[in-house]
Amino acid sequence: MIKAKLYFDRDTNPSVLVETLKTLPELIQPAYFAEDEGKIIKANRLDDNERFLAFLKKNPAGFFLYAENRTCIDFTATSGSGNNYSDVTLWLANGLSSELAATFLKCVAEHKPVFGFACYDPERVPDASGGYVISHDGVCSEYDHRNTHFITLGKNNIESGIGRKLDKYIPGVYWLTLLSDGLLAEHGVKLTDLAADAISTETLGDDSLHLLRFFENPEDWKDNADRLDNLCERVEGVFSRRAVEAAVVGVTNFLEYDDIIANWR
Amino acid sequence: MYENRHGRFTAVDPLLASGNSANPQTFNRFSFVLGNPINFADPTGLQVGSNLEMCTDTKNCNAVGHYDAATNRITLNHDIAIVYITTSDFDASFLTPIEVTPSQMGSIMNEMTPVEREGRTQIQKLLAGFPEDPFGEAISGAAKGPPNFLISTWNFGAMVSTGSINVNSFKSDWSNLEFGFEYSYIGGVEKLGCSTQIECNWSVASELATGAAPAIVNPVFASSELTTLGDLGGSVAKGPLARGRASEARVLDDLGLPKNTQKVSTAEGNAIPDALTSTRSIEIKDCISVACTRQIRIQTDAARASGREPLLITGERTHVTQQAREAFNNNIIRRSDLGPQP
Repeated sequence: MIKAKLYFDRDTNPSVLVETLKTLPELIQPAYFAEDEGKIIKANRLDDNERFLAFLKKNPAGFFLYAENRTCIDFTATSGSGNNYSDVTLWLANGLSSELAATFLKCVAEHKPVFGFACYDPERVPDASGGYVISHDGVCSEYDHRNTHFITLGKNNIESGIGRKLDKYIPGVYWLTLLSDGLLAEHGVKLTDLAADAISTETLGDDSLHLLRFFENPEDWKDNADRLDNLCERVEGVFSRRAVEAAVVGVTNFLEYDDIIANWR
Repeated sequence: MYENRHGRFTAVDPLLASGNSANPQTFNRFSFVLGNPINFADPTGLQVGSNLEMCTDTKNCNAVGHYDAATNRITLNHDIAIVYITTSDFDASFLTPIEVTPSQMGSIMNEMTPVEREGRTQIQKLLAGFPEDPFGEAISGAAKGPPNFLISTWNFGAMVSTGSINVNSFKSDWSNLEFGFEYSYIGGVEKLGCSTQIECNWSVASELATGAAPAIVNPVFASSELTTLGDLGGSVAKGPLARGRASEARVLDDLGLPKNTQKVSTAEGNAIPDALTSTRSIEIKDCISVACTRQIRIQTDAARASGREPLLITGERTHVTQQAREAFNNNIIRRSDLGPQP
């Protein structure tokens, strides 16, 4: 499964974004809205604008959109201090071309996303004993590899999201990475420093957005993981998980770990 | 032939094909719409029709009771009903006016001891509004009056956004009645609440089916969960809420965290996380799976609104959907002592 995620300024109007998403290719074009994951009610059709706007009013924190083939788009509008962005995530239904993720990232260029990416992120499957616990060595997802920290402390198998805060760093580079001039400038990163490792670069919208492709097929992320990890480590302003791994060496309890990891969210 | 006083058919369902091994309830060929007339329809009398949109038609569900538009109230057709009302599938405008009428609640404890009286007061408080600390207000009481009361799960989603009141366990002589309040979405979405309630109701349904055969209205659940349900029958005596609390206490103790009672709020509703650190807002879910419901959004959004990262603590074998992981910002602790056991 391919995940594609876009971050917008939190003031971006979701109903305007939804209007744009309605122009996506039919295979991923949202048709239904829902407040609970997977709970599609036929009456909640996106083309019933009045119903959708009433729904939107009731669900300011977020909602789901579903295409006819159950491709899912998840809107999250976070509130509170330190959360200056809302995000929109597309999960491509299995069997669809991964290039649709690129179409999704490009589709909303007019709304000036701050950052975006697309990468291989399959549903986690249980092991032979039915368990879902994995270590970093066992990750199947490019996103987990770059932005999740794994550690076991006593009975606790801990997974922590890391490097996600756009106001601290650029979260990383992935199969497809969408960078805005604003975010690059905020973190003092030169586009050329990252583009040098990309296989293609495309400028979008009013030329302030840059879509970098770092390798051809998203499933090949493991073959490119070291190269991109090195790039993240090398370019200041881009998050690198290696710094976290060094910081938590010797940690023995959750509270201590939590204090350290808080610096790397 | 359908007997409305019993809420079931008086002759076996002639359609053999209506049985489905994935759903053991379908092999009860006397039952009406899997004992779930709120959420399922059976226009032919032969086979249950699964129809999510029936949820929107709760007002017209005559099998359980009838809705009076003039008073905006439900009157039950049966002495005892276990009614689950979910919020997500029907008009929120329907929720707010729902009241528990005196005839429905009044005879819960008509021979009350002081403890029972206090229990009733607390129940009324719970029904009247959102308590400051719903987890701390759980009630254990006794009710020995005539079985003429409403056992209900009122999901106040539209009104307070965050919870439901439900009967967690009781015995056939109505002793050991335990009301509780917990964060839950019925409908098999947020499985902590769902599995707890299913566990309870399966047992309750089994008990009552051998007695007065009242209308039992179970929550919406997927057929795969029903299979699990069968395995859970009878375990209600252990007290599902008690189990949940014990899990919570054990986990918090292990992590060196105190139980939280502080409410956090967002534009969409309130949440009371199980624990708070200076940087984390923690939800413990001892359940089969966790999906991203509106309730999870409220909890995780409230965490962020309080300047904290949301953290989910759940079982090693608990399935957490990608969307739910995303809602928790990929912050998950998995433990062998939570969730499904081998």
